[in-house]
Amino acid sequence: MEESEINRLIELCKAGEQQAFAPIISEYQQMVFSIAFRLLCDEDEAKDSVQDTFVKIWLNLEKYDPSKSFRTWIYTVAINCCYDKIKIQKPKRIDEDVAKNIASPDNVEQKIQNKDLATIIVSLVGKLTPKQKIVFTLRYLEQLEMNEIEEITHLSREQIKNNLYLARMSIKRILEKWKI
Amino acid sequence: MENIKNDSRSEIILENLSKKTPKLNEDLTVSIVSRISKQKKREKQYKFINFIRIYSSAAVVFIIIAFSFTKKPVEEKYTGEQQNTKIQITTATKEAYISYLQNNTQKNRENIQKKKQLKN
Repeated sequence: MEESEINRLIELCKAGEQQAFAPIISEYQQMVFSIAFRLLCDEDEAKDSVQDTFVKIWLNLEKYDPSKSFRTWIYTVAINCCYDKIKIQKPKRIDEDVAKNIASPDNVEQKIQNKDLATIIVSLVGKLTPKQKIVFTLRYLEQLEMNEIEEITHLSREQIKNNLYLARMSIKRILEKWKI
Repeated sequence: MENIKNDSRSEIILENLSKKTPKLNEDLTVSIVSRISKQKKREKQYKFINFIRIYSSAAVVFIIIAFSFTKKPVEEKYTGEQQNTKIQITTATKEAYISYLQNNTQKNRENIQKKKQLKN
């Protein structure tokens, strides 16, 4: 969907037309689910976060600045929705052998399910702090640019780099342990 | 060399992970839209309750203030003592007062005469 079309729909939503919000949800729900799932590593919690995110977006549409990217703004709202959940999340138990097997570079072409993906992500980023997890997910899994991450997280470039470095070191240690 | 190899392996794994996006198996549009409608309803109810709360509290304050301005009737208690009563003549003229006293003395005399006649 083009930016102009999205802006038109947003204007309609601001005028109170709820039906105009449905195409926006259809367009971005996969993106929000992706980031929520990668951060929470749980399908049901990720779906809840998707719903929370879009309700918050609807309620705060007046605050959206049309001069900025709508996609980036959605990311910000989604991250805020997930952040509190990450903080209270209990550490998950994972089968390291399964994770090791799925994560192996030899399995590149293998179609993996959400459950397996969650296992790998939990095993790699499970011990990171919420901030490190968010920055790492945005940079390496969502592959966003640094300036976008700055805008989403409201962190400075230096802080982002520090968090990324620590996250990479932690993941490197895990991979060394797995010897893959 | 081992370190470089390890780095490149982790790069590959991370790249693979980025390619493997989690799939949303169901369309959440309907449930989100219904949640928004519920939220809207809830907000309307909240606004209505707030409206009533504000106006009722304002009305209560107004009634309290109105009551505080009205005079309360003073309760008079009988103490058994005779109270001094003062006759205040404010508008009467001197002549009127004198004629009032003369009338009074005349009536008193008449009363005394009537009493005497009754005794006789």
